[in-house]
Amino acid sequence: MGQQSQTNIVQELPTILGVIGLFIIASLYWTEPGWEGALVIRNATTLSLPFATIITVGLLIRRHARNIIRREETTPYDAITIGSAVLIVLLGLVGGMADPTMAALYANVNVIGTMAVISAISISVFSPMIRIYRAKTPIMGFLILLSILALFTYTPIGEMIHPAIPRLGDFVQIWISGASDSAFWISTYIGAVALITRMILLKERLRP
Amino acid sequence: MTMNQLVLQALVRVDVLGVFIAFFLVLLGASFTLRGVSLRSIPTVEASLEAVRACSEKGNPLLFDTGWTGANFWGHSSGLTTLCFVPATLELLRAISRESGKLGVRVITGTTNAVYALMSHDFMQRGFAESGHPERFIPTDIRFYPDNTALNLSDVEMAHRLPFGAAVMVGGHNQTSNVVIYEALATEGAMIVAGEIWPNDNSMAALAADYMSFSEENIAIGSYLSDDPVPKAILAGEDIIKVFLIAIVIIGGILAGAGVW
Repeated sequence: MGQQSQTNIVQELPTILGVIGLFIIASLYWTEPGWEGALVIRNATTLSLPFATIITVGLLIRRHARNIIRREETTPYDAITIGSAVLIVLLGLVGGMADPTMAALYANVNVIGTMAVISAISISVFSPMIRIYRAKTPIMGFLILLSILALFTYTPIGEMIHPAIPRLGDFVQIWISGASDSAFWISTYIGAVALITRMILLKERLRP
Repeated sequence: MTMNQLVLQALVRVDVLGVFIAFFLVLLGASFTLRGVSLRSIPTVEASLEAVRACSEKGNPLLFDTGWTGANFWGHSSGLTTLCFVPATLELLRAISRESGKLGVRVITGTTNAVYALMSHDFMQRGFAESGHPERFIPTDIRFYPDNTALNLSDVEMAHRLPFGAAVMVGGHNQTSNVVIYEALATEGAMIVAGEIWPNDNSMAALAADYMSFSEENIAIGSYLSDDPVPKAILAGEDIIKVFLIAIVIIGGILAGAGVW
């Protein structure tokens, strides 16, 4: 019996530590400027995150290396991923984040990637909007009407068609969307408190 | 800063703590008084398991992507909000892994949070073990990219190459960039189950997903998946708080409209 309860405590330890850590860090919300203990724990936890990152970067490189060894069809992609990861890691180890080569390379790669994603967003947004005309539900149809209204509100075309259009769009944005956004967050935060309550009662776990 | 301002600031902070404690006590009370309550099922859970079955029929893998949701402790609201998703989404991942193990479906995950990637390993491994097929768990299918852009591009590349039979994207993606992944998945005919933390991301999900859920539901997934009556009672207790808040809004609106307050 004693051994069983000891096992249970060990199993629940990650969740118990998680709840304690959560409350210590949450206390920074109602203490000004924040008490020393909470700040130390927060900083220590933040500093420990790179260790997890190192492990997972290792796993990332291992996975792509395996693909190359197995001569998968993704070999060029794998080679680029490993090459860039190893290069950045080496540069970081030699000169740190302040190294000019590292900084320039990181910034440029980041810019290219971000540009690619943003460009893809601007193209991709239209496609689901068009597809929605074959909409699955009336609600999704209503959503596309609101999207068109927003487009007309924030581009000159709405004003050109009729001055009432941008005013209607502003009304929807400020009152209806504003209220919906508040409802979304309030319900989420109530749900978050409920989740914390369940964690305190050890009904939600950070370990399977 | 004057003394009055300091007092006001202190009151606001105590107020925040007071609201939290009041909510906590109501929910704690509900865990006793509302035990045995039956809850309707939520689409996220049913649709996620349906997504596994769709993948089984197509013979393609399933994408489970949480974006940058994870174990953040950086100490401001977004960090704490995303932290709340950890137990919920991991329980869903375990349930998906269990179903996938039975049906022989490969599950590929994606996240930009290193801690979450390691925790995903534990929950997926347990899920496949519970299915009776632990050998079907592939550790290298837990994909971690330290950057959101890399994760997005990698997801899109796989969506076209593999392709995925279905995707469950419950978590937080970066400022509508999720639509790029949704679009790639939709182009390949994948079933999409999506529920994001942020409202603007969720609006993208509404445009493309077959089943959409809200963050409030996603936080509660662990309770829906559990047979334990206590989490379900706490979940039902949320309605007490909501009724109270709605009543305050209505009464306050009437009083303000009447010029009383």
